[in-house]
Amino acid sequence: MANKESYLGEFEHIILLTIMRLKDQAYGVTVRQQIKELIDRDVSIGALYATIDRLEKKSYIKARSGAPTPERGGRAKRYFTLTSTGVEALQQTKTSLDKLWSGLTLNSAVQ
Amino acid sequence: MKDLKPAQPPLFAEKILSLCIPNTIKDEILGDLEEEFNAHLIRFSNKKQARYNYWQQALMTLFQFIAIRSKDSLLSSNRQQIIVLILGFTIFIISLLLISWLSHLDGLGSFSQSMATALAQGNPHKALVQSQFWQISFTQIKYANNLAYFFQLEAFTWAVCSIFMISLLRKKQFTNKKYIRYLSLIIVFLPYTVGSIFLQFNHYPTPQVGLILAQMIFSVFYLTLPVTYFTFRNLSSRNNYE
Repeated sequence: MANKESYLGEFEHIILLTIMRLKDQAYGVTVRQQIKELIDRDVSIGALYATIDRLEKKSYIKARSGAPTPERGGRAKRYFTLTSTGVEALQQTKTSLDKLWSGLTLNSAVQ
Repeated sequence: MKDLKPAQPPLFAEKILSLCIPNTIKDEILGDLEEEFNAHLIRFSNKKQARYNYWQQALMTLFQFIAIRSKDSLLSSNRQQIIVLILGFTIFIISLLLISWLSHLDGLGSFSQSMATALAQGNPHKALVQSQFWQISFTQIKYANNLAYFFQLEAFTWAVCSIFMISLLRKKQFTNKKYIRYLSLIIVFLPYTVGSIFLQFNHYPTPQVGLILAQMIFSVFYLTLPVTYFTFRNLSSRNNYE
């Protein structure tokens, strides 16, 4: 049964799905661009890294360093990938949301 | 042909940011910002807009990490409560000393020239750097047995109304607690600040200056302890509405 620890917050959920979608090309810039393109949400770099830090602590994602590039001032990219715990958390959240949505239509919500 | 050599992002923003963000993610954040800055330059050739975007992201990131730090470690709820208690009692004692000192002196002639000017311009806090104040006020407070010295009608009315208003706000379940704390702080120092600004720009005879100074200091005197108490309680029962 899902406990509070394994429950994903909305923004955590968004970031995990974006990282999953980007496969091995997920790093700060691409994650922000993808979120903007897909759901038109502007995410600040600070908010992104604060959440990524939390997801790493929960072992939902892991990071690896890329090669330094000149357009980044000689700094390396930090790529993120999902761990099996992260995939499990996503699956659990999806299952919970599917259960909550089952049998519901938005037309029936307004009485 | 476009210059493909990477440009330097705003140096000052970069420096501020590198001082405030954790070392573990500093390179990643600064690298991402610089990459976006250069991508924007290549795509739109608009350096002004690229610099604006960089500053915007830098400031947002800065506030984000300051907020996280103050929430997580720097100022835990208990530490904030201790700071509030110390500040509250210090301000109360200082206002008490100021009242007893000013009550026992006759007219602005009793002060040194610099102090008389400071009082006439609505800056009684400047007494704190005068040796005359620290020498006399502690002696006088021992003899301050006349309670009438500690009553000032206008300031008392302001204090009662303010405490009533804060109490009402505290009872409302959905009022943001941070908002109440800021409002309380403003209420304590509002008469003092307004009086000080007013006297800066207006010159009045001594009795009138004395009355305005009394309203300024007594408001702080009456309100400091109740507001300290409210803030202390408020911090101990922080909730999710913040």
